[in-house]
Amino acid sequence: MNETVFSIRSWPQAILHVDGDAFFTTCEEAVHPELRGKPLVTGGERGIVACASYAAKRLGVKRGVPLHEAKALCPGLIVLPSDYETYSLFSRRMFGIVRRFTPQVEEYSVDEAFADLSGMRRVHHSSYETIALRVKEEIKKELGISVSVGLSITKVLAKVASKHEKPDGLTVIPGRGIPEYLRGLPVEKVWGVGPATAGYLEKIGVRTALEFARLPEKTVLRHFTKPGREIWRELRGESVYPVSTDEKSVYASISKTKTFAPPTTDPEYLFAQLLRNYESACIKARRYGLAPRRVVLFLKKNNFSFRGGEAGFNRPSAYPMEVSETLRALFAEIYEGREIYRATGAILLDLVPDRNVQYSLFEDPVKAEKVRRLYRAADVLGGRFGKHTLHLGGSHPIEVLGKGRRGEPTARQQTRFPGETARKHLALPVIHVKV
Amino acid sequence: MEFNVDREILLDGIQKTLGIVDRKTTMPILNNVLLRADDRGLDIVATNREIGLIARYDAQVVTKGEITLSARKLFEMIREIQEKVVHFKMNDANWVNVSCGKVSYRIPGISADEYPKVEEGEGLMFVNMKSSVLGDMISKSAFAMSTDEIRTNLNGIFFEVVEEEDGKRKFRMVATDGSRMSLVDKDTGGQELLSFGKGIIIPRRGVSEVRRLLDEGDEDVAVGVDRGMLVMKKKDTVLKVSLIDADFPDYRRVIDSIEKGTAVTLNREEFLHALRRMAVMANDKYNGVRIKVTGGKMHLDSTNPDVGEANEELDVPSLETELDVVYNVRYLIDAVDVVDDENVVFEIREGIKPGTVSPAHGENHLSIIMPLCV
Repeated sequence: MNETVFSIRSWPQAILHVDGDAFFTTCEEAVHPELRGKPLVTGGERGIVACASYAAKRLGVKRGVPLHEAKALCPGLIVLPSDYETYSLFSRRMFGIVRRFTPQVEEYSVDEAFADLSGMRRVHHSSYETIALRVKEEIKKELGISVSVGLSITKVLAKVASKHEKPDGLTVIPGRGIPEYLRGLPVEKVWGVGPATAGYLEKIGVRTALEFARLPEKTVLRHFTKPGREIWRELRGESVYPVSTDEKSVYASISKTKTFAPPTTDPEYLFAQLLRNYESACIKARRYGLAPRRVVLFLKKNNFSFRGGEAGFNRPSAYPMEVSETLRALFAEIYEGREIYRATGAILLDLVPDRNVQYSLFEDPVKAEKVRRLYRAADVLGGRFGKHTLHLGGSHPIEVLGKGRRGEPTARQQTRFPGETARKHLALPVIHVKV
Repeated sequence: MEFNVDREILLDGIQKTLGIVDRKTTMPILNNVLLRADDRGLDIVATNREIGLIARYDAQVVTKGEITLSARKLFEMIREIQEKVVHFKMNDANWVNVSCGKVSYRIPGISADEYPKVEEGEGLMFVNMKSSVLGDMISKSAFAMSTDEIRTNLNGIFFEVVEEEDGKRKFRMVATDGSRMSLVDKDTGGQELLSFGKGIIIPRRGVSEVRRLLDEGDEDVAVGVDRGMLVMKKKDTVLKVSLIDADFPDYRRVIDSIEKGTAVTLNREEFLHALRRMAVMANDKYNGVRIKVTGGKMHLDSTNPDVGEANEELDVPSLETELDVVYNVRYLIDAVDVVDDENVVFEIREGIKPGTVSPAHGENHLSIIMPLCV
């Protein structure tokens, strides 16, 4: 078989992908060393496995399965509540370590980062491979968590590399080495290739990433639109996606979803959950000075099917009080009395800058300005005493009937001082002493 | 069916249907117009089930009959034909030959039996109104209609009869998109005889067809309302428009709540041009014009970080008050543009209170604009 050479130069550029290994449980293991190596899952408050440690994975526990199933598989399973504050703290420190090696770091998700190392060899007096190794070692040494690192010449290939050996792996794919790594890789494992694309590729006889990369340009142009063509080029070592350091500040939509336990049919409680999600989404919208023109609300049934509805506002508003009637009417439309629900969600759409407000002739602008001032105060209170310190009566049942978290609160929640918010508590290290 | 028709007449007749026939429809027949040849001439009928049009034209009918054909294709064909007279002939299988000199087209039609019925509103009470006056009312209110599909009750012009204090009746049109409103009262004739009850809402698409009908010649138009339909007859044309079945918002409450403000009388042309100069800076994101009155001068300023700044000063010597209000510049332009007088009275209110624009003399025509809150 003749070998295709995709790139003659080994390092036209160097892109690093850092991927946390079972990130949430690994963070828990770092904070609670006594749990290290034990079958461990997080997601206790949601009733499903949010993240399973490698020990648990070996016993067959997978992400997304209900906890009772996971426990049946693995009787000694340790279930922890998700401690997102701790995870984001680890995440921030991990990105900080990557930034020591290059300023061009893209925080792709809570446990993933891309970094462009091109041209950094001279600065660090070492090869790209050595830099990658040092990133990995420093994260391990300082944070006590293991990450898998992939180094290659495009983002898609770097991602292929970091996935190649997990956990705690370091895989380097230089330009010349591309075919070797793509040969055995099923095409649906490539970043950006979903089940639909994979199914389509199979119909034209493509099963592995290498077969995809080897397709002639003509064929690719005929069969694929922009995203497909871009992945094809990236796989061939031609960098299309830049490592973007921009922080996200422009939102097309904002959504908030929360699963609660136990599942319920109670409309008051359900609406309270829904309204709370809407309030949370609006807090975020206000933080970015945005207001939605449209909203989607949805309810998730216990069998995981959705039912949703959409409504438009007369003018953009990021103030739940102004639209609670609309939301209640929408809820009444999508709520079915006999069903049992496990989650609710709200999505804000058509976000526009919340200034130059054009009030309506048919409303009372004085009242609207009052609402605006009220929420300004609510946001100040929220900053001082915690989100939702001031909330609508409609979402109050949550405070009375519980937030729907099950299991033990996290160590971080238990050690919070009275009056301290989760955000403030972030700055404090958690000292965990086992007696 | 066989007939001869003058090309000009036919072209004009088909063109009038193009705004009505649906391009995006699930029923292909609604792309078509109905051609009906009988003793009285040629009827061209178009409908999208909300708006219906029946127009009669002179034609030399050889044999009677009816068929529906694609309006768009007919228009394209006739437009390119150069001769004076067009000949139509239908065979048994609903195929139609359209010929003219050495040109001939052969196109398939759909049977007229499948076309939705458009009735002429027989037995309805009609009153005559002056076309030009009615058309003027539409021009002065239509701009304020909402384009937001969600708010159906604002997607049209509200039309009603009002009684003034001296017992005189007038027709009134009101349109609003929620943030601005325009209202005009007029004597079009017929207001003594016709009543719209609690008022009717003519939908946006209907408004443009009505306007087209009113613009054709000076003849009076006969107007009648029946079961949610507005029927208008003029010469040999009948236009039917389905009214919006919703309640128009309580516009009187808005009018009643307007307080006395600071009135500035400005030359319409000058003010309009000044506003248009400000609008150069406006886009979808920034559309405000700040109006600041101080020391007998009115400062206009429009700032858009993406484009730049515009400043202008108008003399208003009589004004001693200090004011500072921001409006959507396009709303102001629309309102000033339709004023039918040399001078406009612009009444400003401080705070989040609506501003008003009206002619200095003459008719009862009022535009109300809510300011922007910056």
